[in-house]
Amino acid sequence: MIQWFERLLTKSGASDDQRDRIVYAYDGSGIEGQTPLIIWPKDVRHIAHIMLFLRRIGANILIRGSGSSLVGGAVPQGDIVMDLTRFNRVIHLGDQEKTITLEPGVYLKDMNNLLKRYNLEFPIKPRNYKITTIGGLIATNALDSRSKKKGRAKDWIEYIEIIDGTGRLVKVDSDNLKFFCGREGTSGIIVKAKLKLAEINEDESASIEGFEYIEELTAKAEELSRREDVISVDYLDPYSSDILGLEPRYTLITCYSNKESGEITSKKELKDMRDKINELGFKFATRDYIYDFDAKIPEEKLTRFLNWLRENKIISSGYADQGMIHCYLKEETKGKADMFYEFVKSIGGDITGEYGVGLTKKKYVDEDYKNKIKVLKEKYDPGNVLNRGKII
Amino acid sequence: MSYLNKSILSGFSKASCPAYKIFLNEAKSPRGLMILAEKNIPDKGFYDYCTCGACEVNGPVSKISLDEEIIRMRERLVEEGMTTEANLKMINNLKEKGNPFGSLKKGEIPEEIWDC
Repeated sequence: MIQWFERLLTKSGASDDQRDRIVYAYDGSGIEGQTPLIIWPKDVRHIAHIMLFLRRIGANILIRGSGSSLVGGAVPQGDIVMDLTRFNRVIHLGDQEKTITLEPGVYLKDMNNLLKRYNLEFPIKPRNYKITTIGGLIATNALDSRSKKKGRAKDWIEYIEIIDGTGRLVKVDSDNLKFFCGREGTSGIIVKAKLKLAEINEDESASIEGFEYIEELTAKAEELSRREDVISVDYLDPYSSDILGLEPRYTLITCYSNKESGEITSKKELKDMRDKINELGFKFATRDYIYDFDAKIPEEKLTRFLNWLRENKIISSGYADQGMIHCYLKEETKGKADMFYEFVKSIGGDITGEYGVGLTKKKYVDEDYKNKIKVLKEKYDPGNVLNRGKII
Repeated sequence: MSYLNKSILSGFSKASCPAYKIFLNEAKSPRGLMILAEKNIPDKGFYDYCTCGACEVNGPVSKISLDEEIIRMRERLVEEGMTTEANLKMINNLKEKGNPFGSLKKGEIPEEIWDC
């Protein structure tokens, strides 16, 4: 089989080397999978050709960008791995119209570095901002701490082009993005995206406030999220606050779209604070909290949910204005994940959260969402060639 | 999963890795090399790690030193005879001339420069 890929992609475009098969078996989740082969296409025609070939021989592929998924979204389970990081050209930058058209393998950080000179940026910067590719950003419909006001990745896309499971090239306009954004590669391979851009706003400030009780925190968070000048409201529990060098209390860190509303105004301090919050999970990992769970909680249930976490001694942080909560568990307590997600579902929460479903949350997916994915599969990937075993 | 803590598995170390940016192959990234080190698999790819330390400076907090693990694996590679032509040249030059690039006059620039 490798000879077929080598003829299409050249020798450097395919590998069944033991070394490559071992390292590509992992993503950010720590789950170990297996793969017979890794391919690196750089042309959309090659990808279409590959899809036709795979359907003919009954094989399936796992689409991979940076492999930073925390839920096993990039772990192959016997699939051929299609690494798209070499499919990474910027096709067109329209700095006047504030758009950029590019291939999925471009790293978000590299793209924003390019855009700086035009005072532009893609405004959605998820926790794995430093490492996520554009394809991964779209496949997970990424969000960040500011998404309450700014929306998610889907809201900043003009169109994408995908190759579906039958090898067909499809241009997807904004009305149909929902069939591919956030579907974790189960319905199509993103091969091009035209993104909308925002002007960089440097006039920001932040404030930090501690609370004794969860009820005080959630009431304040609700009040803050209604303000026009509030961009984000981060939440930390006492343990998370302590890790970040703050008083060990329930804490809100609020960012404002001006320099007047908050006490912290230094650009460096604001950036350092954001980096520390984004990398909180890694700090926990050095203290053996290696399991990171997330869910989206309805606003009216947030107080109840945070109290439940407190009662069950589960450490947490998140975006208070969005109800997006991240929790951290050690190896010996990872069994709490089941009750965590059951509780999330019992209060009408969304288990996909920020990280998606991948492999680790599959068993918690409700029938409604499963059926949605099945319908997409029937239309765009009837042979179930793409990211088989993910989500459903 | 002794070395493979979350920091390494996250892949954040790739963001600033010059070797990874050239090869765009996971096996050349700090994460890939640490996976191979964890499994004790000797591979000449360990010589492509340039010990610049960017992954440790710019990556998130990590419990272990990547440099130490890479060097440990390189020692093993040498013990197993899996060295590179450049390494052999430099080692021979060091033994014979005390200089990895051979016999040079003061101020002379070597005709060939290698690294491992």
